[in-house]
Amino acid sequence: MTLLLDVLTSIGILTIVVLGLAIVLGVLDVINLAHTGFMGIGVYAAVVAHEHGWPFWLGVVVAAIAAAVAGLVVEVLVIRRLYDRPLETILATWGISLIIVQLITLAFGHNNRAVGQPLATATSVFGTPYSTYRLVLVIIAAVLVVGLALLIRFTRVGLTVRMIQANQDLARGLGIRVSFLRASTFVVGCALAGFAGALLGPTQAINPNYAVSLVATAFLAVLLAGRHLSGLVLGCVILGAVQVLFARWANPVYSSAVVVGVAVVLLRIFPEGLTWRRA
Amino acid sequence: MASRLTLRRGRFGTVGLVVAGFAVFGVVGTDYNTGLLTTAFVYAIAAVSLDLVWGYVGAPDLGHALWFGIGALSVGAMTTVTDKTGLVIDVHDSSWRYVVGIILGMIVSAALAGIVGRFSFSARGSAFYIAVVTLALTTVATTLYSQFPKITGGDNGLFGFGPANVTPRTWYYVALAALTLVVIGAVVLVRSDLGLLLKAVRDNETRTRYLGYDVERIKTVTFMGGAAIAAFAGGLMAVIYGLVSSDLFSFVFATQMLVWVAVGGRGTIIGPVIGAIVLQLVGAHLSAQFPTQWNLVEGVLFVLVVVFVPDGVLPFVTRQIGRLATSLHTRRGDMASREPQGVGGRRITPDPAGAPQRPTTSPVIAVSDLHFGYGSLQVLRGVDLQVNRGELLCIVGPNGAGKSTLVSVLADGNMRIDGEIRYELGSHTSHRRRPPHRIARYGVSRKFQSPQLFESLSAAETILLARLGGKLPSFWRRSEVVPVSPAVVDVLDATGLHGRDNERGTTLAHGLKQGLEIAAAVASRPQVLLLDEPTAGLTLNERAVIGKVLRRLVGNGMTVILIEHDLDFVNQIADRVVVLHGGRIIQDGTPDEVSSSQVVREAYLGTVS
Amino acid sequence: MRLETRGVVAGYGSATVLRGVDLTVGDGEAVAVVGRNGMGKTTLLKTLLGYLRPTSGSIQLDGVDITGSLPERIVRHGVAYGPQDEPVFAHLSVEDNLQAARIGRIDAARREQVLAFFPVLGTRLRQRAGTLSGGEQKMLVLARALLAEPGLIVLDEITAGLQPSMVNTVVTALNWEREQRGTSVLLVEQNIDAVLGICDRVAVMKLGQLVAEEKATKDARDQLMLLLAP
Repeated sequence: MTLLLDVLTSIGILTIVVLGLAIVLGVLDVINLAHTGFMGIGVYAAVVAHEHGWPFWLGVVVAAIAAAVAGLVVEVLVIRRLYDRPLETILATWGISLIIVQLITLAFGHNNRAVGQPLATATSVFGTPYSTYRLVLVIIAAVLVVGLALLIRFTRVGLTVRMIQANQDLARGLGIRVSFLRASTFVVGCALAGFAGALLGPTQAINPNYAVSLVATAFLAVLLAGRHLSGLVLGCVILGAVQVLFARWANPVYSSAVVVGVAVVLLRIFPEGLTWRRA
Repeated sequence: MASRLTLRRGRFGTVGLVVAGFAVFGVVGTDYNTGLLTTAFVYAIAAVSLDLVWGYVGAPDLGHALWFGIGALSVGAMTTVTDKTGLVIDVHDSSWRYVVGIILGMIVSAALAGIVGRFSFSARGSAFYIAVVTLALTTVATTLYSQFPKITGGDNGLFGFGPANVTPRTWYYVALAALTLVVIGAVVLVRSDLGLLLKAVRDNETRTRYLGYDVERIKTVTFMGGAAIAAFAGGLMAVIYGLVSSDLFSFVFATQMLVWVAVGGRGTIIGPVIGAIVLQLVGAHLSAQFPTQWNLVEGVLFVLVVVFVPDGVLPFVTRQIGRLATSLHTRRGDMASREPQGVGGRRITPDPAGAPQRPTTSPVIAVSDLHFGYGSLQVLRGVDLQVNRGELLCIVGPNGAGKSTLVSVLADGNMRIDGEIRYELGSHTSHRRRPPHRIARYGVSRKFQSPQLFESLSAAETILLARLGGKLPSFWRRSEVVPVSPAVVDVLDATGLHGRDNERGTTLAHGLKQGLEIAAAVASRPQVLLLDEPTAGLTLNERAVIGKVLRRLVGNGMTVILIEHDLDFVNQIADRVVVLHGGRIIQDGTPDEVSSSQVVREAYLGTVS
Repeated sequence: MRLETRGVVAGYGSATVLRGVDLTVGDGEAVAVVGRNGMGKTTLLKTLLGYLRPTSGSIQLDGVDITGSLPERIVRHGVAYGPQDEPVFAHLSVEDNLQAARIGRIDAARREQVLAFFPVLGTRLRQRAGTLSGGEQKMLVLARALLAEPGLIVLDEITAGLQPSMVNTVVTALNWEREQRGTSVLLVEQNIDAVLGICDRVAVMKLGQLVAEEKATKDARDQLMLLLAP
């Protein structure tokens, strides 16, 4: 039972981490390698909030706002100029993540910090006691995914987003304010990163290289996702499950290697991601 | 023209001068500075290897340090003895072990890169894929490094090895010599005809594939080559410094390589070398004083270059100098310099020896009961068609009849069909489905409906690649002259491309692009030419000339399959016309028979359902 | 809607394509720009729509200066544009492509009227637009332009690659739109007969300039053919 819950919660955590990344990739065709950087900004904002004695959940909100502001700055200064050159956004965001890590190091030093322990109780799930906080993370992940799916499928904002995703020049020619929407999307993606960063704060060691261990898995999950939320969830389920199960039955150190291997093989078989798409 | 030629010749002269300068510096420089330069030279080799992979076949390898690290580790592991915890307890002193270590590292790197490339480069996959996979491999490698202390020395790394009795100055010259050789080799390679192919792959994979080239293999082999050269650099590094640690595999180091190449100018070979040497020197001086700040500066510099001078500093500077020179010329009233700047410097010349093929009446392609659909949408519903050698077959039919799809299916064996397509192309007689580049190589050349050209290739270079038709071009030879058959000359003249040999294909106007596409298709000397609306966007006059050219090709024994809407045009040139409607052939006959057919008229006017 | 350009110069990088274009499309008027390939017709439309920034000259819509505005701002004045390359969202459904005309705010009655011209679209609403044939995609472009209820329709080579019966549909649909709503039309075309069936005036473009202008009458056909010959 604990194993099942472990699998479930790590899928949830992965989903929360990947969601912002997936939005930015799906809509803007930008692989945001600075995603973990924005998670870092988020968690350090939460650290500051915690050190001022603010409640944890307020810290999470502060984290999302801080990352959103940073995201806006980055979008205006850098990303905005690169939408026509998707491969170069990889490099630029990679450079930005370097800058963010260095700035955090300069400001906070190398020592580990803390954001407090919210909901530090256990809840009994079919008789098995399990960390309430981790269960709440699963619920948050589910709410985010469902909300996003409804937004994209049924709203005018969703249609606009799908138009931009499909062909930005054409979308402009139909009156879509592409640059505004792109900026908003990037900012939302970054806010989600900050949000995720703060949420994971209680479960990870917080230092300038925060969340770096998640990088590879998160990016592979996003590639596996293709362009659809269903693929995203499926990708997170597979990689999250592989990671936890392998770490439990074999060696935790090798599990990251196995995750990469599984993802690479899956991507070879489904090069456009796990979403079923007609040619 | 003449001045550009001397400039190019001069490049090797400049390299010689710079090498000589460094050689002199080896005598007069301080120990500290020559030491720094030794490292910089080795790094520059790694930068060149990354440039081949990233700048030439367009695969952004975010984990290039991995290959460097494998090279270094291979040397370390070959020459040291460790205890169980990974502590170095003895060092072998036979010098052959160093050579074997370097070679082994290159082999292992190339092999691993081959596997990664095989998995990462796919016709349908995302261009991002290789970036993320290499990134992921870097994480894995650094994690695994600490897991095998017996080989890697674990967290302490391996140290204390290295050939005795070699002075740092000697290493300086060894590194300089190695770098010079690598640079010369790389420059010759990228300026050769093969280099052209690499650029074509970077610019437009699909088009390259339909010219008969196995794009995935080209990318994989280049990737392997890049990995092997990086491993060579890593091995050299280990030999010189007698030190290996997991740092050599890390993100940070991989990123530095990217910075050198991006800042220097990717796709230029020399740029990354300058980038590596300059940044290494500046970085060494600054990071001693401001360790954290230097990394920050490096990050900022990287982002600035990516955003504002995306092709790097060297091309930027060269361009500015060029612009300055042009403006000086213009001030002198030199009209010639106002012509658009060309690329490539290759010339198209007529080659009258294009041997005609012998016309026969045997089939070249036989299609039977062909079905094809996209998902639930059935496009072809049972097509039976025999195409004879040496005929000009026009496929006509209303929009949505499946004409383009039929042609695609003939050219791309990766599309899953029901039914059979049998090719009788002499060398290749089979009904097996083959990937597009194989079919192209058997002699089926395809022109797409909308032009697909190469960003950085001139008209002449595009035609050169088409002419080679999938044969691997020379690694070192550079064809200055592109001989083409009279038919190609006809197309070039007819479409107004004559004399525009050095213009980039993508900057041409629409009609000229169409012309270049047709010329390229003809230049590949195919047995079967598939043309999807070759005259779309051409004027009546240009159409007439294209028609004549096609007739002449058919007269020489070529088979032409043509999708066309202009029925007047069809009547003028076709031997045979098939009418496709609703995924089936509803009429097959001479132009006269077809144009007088009631069924066809109704299909066109939309009265047949 | 009235479109007026004065001395528009534009190009790509250092290559100047448009060398001073003066073009007027009066309110309710239909004008075609014809000419050989590479003369700058598509570039002219891209410049009018804001995809290219003119290096000099001015562009006005109903007297409002839109020179250098972004495409999304220009079309919001009431312009519907059908480009030549990639004219539909290939990965979206036909339905979504139609909705895109007014982002989900399409008048139901008008939708019915417009789709009546293009019955084939009505049967393929849920199919992805990329799976339509080239000609069907052109129909979709035209339907989308009509659904936008524009003041000015700008179409780039809408009849290229169309079979004769569909060219007729284009002519009928555009004439209907002009009669119904008095919409101005600007076409870039190769098909002289389609042009004569729709437009009031024909302008001939050569080397980035409009060099001749004809009333679109049957008599003009031979004249135009002569002008288009090299």
